[in-house]
Amino acid sequence: MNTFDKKFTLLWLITILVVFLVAIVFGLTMRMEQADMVEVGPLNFYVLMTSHGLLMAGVWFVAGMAGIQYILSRYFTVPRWGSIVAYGCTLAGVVVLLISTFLTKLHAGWYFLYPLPFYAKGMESGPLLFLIALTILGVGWLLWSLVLIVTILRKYTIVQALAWHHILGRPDPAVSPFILISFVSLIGVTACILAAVVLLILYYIEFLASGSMSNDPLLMKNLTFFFGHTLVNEMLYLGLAVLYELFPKMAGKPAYKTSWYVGLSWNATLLIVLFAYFHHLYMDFAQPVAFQFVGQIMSWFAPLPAACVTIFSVLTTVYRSNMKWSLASLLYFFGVMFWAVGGVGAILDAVIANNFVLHNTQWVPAHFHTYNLLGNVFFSLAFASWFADEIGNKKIAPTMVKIIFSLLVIGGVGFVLAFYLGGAFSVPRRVDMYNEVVSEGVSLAQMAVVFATLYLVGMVIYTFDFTKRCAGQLFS
Amino acid sequence: MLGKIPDAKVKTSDSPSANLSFWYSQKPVVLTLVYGRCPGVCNPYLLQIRDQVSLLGGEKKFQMMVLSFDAEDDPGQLCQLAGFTDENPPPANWTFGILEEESRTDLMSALGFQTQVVNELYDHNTVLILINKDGNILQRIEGLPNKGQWDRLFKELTNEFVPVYPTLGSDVWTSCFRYDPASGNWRMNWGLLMILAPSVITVCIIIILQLVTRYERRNQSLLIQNQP
Repeated sequence: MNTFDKKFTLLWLITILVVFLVAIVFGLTMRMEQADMVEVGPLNFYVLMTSHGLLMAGVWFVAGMAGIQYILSRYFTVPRWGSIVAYGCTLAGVVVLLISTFLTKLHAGWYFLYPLPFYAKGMESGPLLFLIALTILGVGWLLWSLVLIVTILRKYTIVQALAWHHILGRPDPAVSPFILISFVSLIGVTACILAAVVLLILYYIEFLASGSMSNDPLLMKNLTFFFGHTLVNEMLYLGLAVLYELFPKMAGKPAYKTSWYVGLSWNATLLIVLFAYFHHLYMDFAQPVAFQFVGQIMSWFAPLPAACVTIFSVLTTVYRSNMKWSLASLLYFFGVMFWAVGGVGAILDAVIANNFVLHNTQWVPAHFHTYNLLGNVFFSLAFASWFADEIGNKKIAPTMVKIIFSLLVIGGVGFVLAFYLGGAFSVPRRVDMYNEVVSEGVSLAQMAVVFATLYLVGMVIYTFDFTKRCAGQLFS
Repeated sequence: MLGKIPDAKVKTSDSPSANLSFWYSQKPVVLTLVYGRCPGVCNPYLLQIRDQVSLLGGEKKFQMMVLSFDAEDDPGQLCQLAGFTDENPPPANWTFGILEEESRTDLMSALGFQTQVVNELYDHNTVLILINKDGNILQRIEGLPNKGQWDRLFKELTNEFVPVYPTLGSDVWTSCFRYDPASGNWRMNWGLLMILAPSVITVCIIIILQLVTRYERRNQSLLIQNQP
């Protein structure tokens, strides 16, 4: 471990925390608009939605990658340029993205479903700037992912890194779950970013053709969700890879080993996650029926390997352990549990019969906010907290742990509960105001604003404490 | 929605001249064009429509209109062509009529109905048209409707949701499927391969990276073996 790896990881984490705070404010403003507490208007609501959705997905993806880079650098020499290029591209991409949304008023929903980027705009330059932002982010992240894959392949072959020898009962060479999960996740990350590359090329062709060529909406939607759904899942797995490395040590137990079933489950996850995205296209009747069944079955299987093995491992680690509950271990433990809750919500939505009812309701933001806000974010905050304890001048104060953890859990649970209740009352998602037919939407939004504010306060305290403890290291 | 239907003039047994809007302004109209002397498709086509419509029931929900584009026809002749007799009269929602000369071309053109005179007979295609109460063409089915097309037509008549996906032009080379509206068949196209492309390219990249790093792996393992 050298100073560069520590400093650069610190830089990543501070940047991520700041951008996260900004993105929370965007989301909070949207809920305040729905609660009739502020009036930003429909256009600005959708501008905020696009910015919020893409910033959140991006920021927690790079948080997972920064964690992987840091833990890998404890064992291997990881080329620096991958992380540096990714950092530069992330900063530049976020700036261009925010210009495209706030200045040119591009508002393509919470992601960029075709053909919205071409139409949902305030200025003609909006779509091009938006595509450029995505290109910059994609290039940086793809290179970073490949650099980390090369780092692993310098020591292990593909077969070894995927732990096939452990699945067959052979012990050597020992491959830790961290390496296995990182490798599996990085392969998935590469595949989904390449899907984004194909998607962007098609967008550029149509944009440059100025109306003389159009794309197949079905293909564009398939590629969009191949990218988006897979990326969101893989960034969770990146956080889990770090959890597998750190959590047993926090509990004072031996490091996890890759048993045959751990190997098998993560290899299965690699395949399953690439096909589960079909459940986003249930409403697209033009999609072949066979694909819909594949989406249904893969959605059922998706949580079995990764989630069940991880939950089992975490519970057995905590059971009769000498765990000294720190902010990091609390966030890891509860992050896994909330991930499971969000996963159940996701599977319910991914059942075709349920999806007909739930698809356009707030059930959808409910489940993905559960496993992101309370799952994936907790994993990365746990890593950052552990990292601050490692390199910081002093450990976090116990009172601060109680305050931050309580605010994040109470704020987060209350916030997602408002979404779940919205789903149960058939309150539609993706709208900036509710009429008397779905008046529950207003009161639930008011409830969400209160809890989201608690979460935001928790994050402000966390960021302040983290920066106070570690920022000095950046300039030492 | 395929556009608005021209308000053509029609002669029936009850009325010497009435506009099409007289019928569609009351109820949705399922309309087809035939001619009485047809030695080919018109008779079996009308018989199938009669059988399918009788399965549907719901006489009060729509009008069934059979129009002739041949000025020599009379409505009674069309009624017989559809298999109805004095003993077996058509249901109340059936209307048989003759298109008047002045509006014939406009209507046939709007419906994509083509005719060609061959030996004093007409060579023609067959179309089934669904018109709503505003005169908009909601569906146009060429040839004998298959089961899926009948289902969609009946759903539209009973105000059930009918999803619509535009058929892509042949210039969209990235389409996942090619759809033939005449036969209702589809086949796979290049777009499907593009969904697979990211996964295939990823596998290739990983294999290439394994080859590129093979010397470093070998050096590392030698280093470990030579350690005391």
